[in-house]
Amino acid sequence: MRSVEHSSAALIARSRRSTTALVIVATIVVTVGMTAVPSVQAQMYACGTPCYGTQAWSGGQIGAFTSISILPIYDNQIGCGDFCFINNEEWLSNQGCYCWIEAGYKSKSSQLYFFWAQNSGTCGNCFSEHFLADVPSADLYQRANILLHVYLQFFQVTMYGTDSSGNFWDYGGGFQPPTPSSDYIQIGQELHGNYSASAPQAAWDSNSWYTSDGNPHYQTSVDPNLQMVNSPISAYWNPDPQDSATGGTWFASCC
Amino acid sequence: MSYRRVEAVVVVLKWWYPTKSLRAGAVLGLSAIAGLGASVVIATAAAAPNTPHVAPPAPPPALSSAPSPQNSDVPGIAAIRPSLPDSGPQSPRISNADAAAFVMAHPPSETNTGAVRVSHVDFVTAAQLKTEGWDTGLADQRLLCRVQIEGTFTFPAPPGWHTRSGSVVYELFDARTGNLLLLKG
Repeated sequence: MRSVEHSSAALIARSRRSTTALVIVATIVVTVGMTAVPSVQAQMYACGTPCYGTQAWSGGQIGAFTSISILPIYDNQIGCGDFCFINNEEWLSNQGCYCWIEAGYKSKSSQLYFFWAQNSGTCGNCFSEHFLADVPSADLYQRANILLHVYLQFFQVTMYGTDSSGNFWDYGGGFQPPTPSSDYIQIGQELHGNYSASAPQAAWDSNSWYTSDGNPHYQTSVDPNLQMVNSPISAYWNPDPQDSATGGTWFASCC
Repeated sequence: MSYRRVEAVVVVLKWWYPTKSLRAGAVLGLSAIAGLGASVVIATAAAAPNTPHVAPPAPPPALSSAPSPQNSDVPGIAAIRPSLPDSGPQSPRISNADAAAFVMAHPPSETNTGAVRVSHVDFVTAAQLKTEGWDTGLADQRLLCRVQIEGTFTFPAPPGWHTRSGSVVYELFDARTGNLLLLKG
């Protein structure tokens, strides 16, 4: 009888220890699992017709500048029956001739790269995208400084920055549009497709425009009517250019 | 919770953990779990995608002092893996078949229907393209692989602008590295 009591007590003790161990393991699994869920969640969206988180400025100038944070945006939708990507960028346009130059960084088919693109009207082969380079990991969390401007008969792009080790990099290009003048500036995020994209909150700072003497001027106001924010993109000013001495900060994130 | 209920819980705990050492172990275990949970939550919040820490912005330069890089030597983005041996700077390291296979496996994302056809592949220098009226901005002697692709394509446009469509696009690859350099449509 005594030996039976002994073995029962030992059994209960073992049971208590294993229960405690199970509680600890379960708690860790649940805690880690719950905190990991946001990073793997996928959202469906309807951006076959593109979605934007952008701000525009209308009016005469000869160029624009913005400083965009370089973040690990992501899109891996392929075979989607439409063009699928997400990007953070700046545009400089002439509305009259359907001409523009744009530059920034983009994720498409899970490839993250710097690009610039041009369009010179409504002709058959008017659009070109220039694939500059894959974004090196040392450039993440740094800045892509983008200068788009009119120079002589050309639209010019200059994109430059410094990597995490302090190494300077730059890319450039340009083309001759039918009408070499600009009247429209846009900054922000562009999303095409239906699923898979994600983009941490990026910032567009030092938002500026240029006068014909080649000098920059920080943006000092925004027209809410020239703002375009389509779900699932979230975008807003903080601070607004009118409350900032350095062109305000436009934020955009997605999905 | 009333005093009686607290008392009942304590009685149950004392039965389940009859010795001081077991109770101490339980308290230690629960503290460890709470600490671990808190640290995981804090670490996750710090690394949350909406709060990245980034370098400060640069100010806008005067145009006279802005960098003026050229587009002639850009590396392009990783695409076709070279399959041919290196026979010198003016010989391609990718074949027509490599280029066609890559394009069919990775059709331009501007494809509207997904149905594309590679109608022509050739190797040209940037200087030769210039004589055809296509100034790529790339260095004249750079050897390129040009792929002509037919399908239905829609091209991106700035916010609020109408998109435009076409039936032919060209992709240019660096014939030495296989990197994708340009899409024209």
